Amino acid sequence: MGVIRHLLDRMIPDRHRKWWIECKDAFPILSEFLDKELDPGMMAKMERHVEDCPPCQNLFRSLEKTKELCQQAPKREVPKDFAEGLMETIRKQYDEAKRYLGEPDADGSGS
Amino acid sequence: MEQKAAASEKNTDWERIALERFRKGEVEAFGEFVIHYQDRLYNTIYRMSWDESETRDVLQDTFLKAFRSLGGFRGDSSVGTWMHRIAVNTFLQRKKKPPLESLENLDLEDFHLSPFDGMKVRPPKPEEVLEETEGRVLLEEVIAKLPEEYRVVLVLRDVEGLSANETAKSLGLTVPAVKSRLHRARLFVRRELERKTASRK
Repeated sequence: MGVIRHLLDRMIPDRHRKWWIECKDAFPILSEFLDKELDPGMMAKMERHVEDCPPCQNLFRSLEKTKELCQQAPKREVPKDFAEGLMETIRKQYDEAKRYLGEPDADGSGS
Repeated sequence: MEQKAAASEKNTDWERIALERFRKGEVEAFGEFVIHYQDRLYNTIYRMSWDESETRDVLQDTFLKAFRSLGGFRGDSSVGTWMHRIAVNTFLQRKKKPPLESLENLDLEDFHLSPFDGMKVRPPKPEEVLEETEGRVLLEEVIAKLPEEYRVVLVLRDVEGLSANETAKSLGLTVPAVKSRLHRARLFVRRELERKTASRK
């Protein structure tokens, strides 16, 4: 029984199988696959496809690498005088608002 | 991969205390938020604008807006998430922004042939470049070249680590739109990195 089923199974062309997906359909969802955002059925199909298809696998690897690179993008430092300059402006605006409105509201929003 | 920079949805203790002090009218309490969030927000804005003086202006506007509305802040998210959203919106609404229609569209078809063709010759290896410090400069150059509507999505998702949902919320887009732009942005970055590496050899 098991042997017959196995033999029958091998006669079905791959493209008629449930897990079959064409490159052109895999291509637009490679990023969603990379981010694991597809539904479980589609995730399984894509896993199989990417494993079996060298061009898609190469592209997938390369997208994965690109994502990693972005995650390591270098950081910049905020200018050193920024916070102090900003707080100066805020104090000024706040004092002006207070003078204009009288005492601030209890919630401090000054409105 | 963990979503690293996605700010937590809850305020930490110091934030609750600072918020309380601020609501009692203590202006200086706002400074604590500035000190704590200026670096993160500066980087967010810089990576979207690619211009130092503009980044400074947008960051200043962000904090001024936050200062004016923090009193009425309802606390649906943490102050950090809320300020991050203000920064993104302030950047998107700035005056110098070119109209969206004028931006080049990235068509999926443009990428469809290139990766497969390229692979017949040799597998694409942006990783070759990225070993060197030069690679980081290249990456910045490439991200800067991305049309803004794609760059913003790539920065929020891959550089900052926000989820598709959070990015959609921040940008006022649908989740499918975010996913589709992210895919095109990554394809663009990977192709440009490959081109630049090839041309330097």
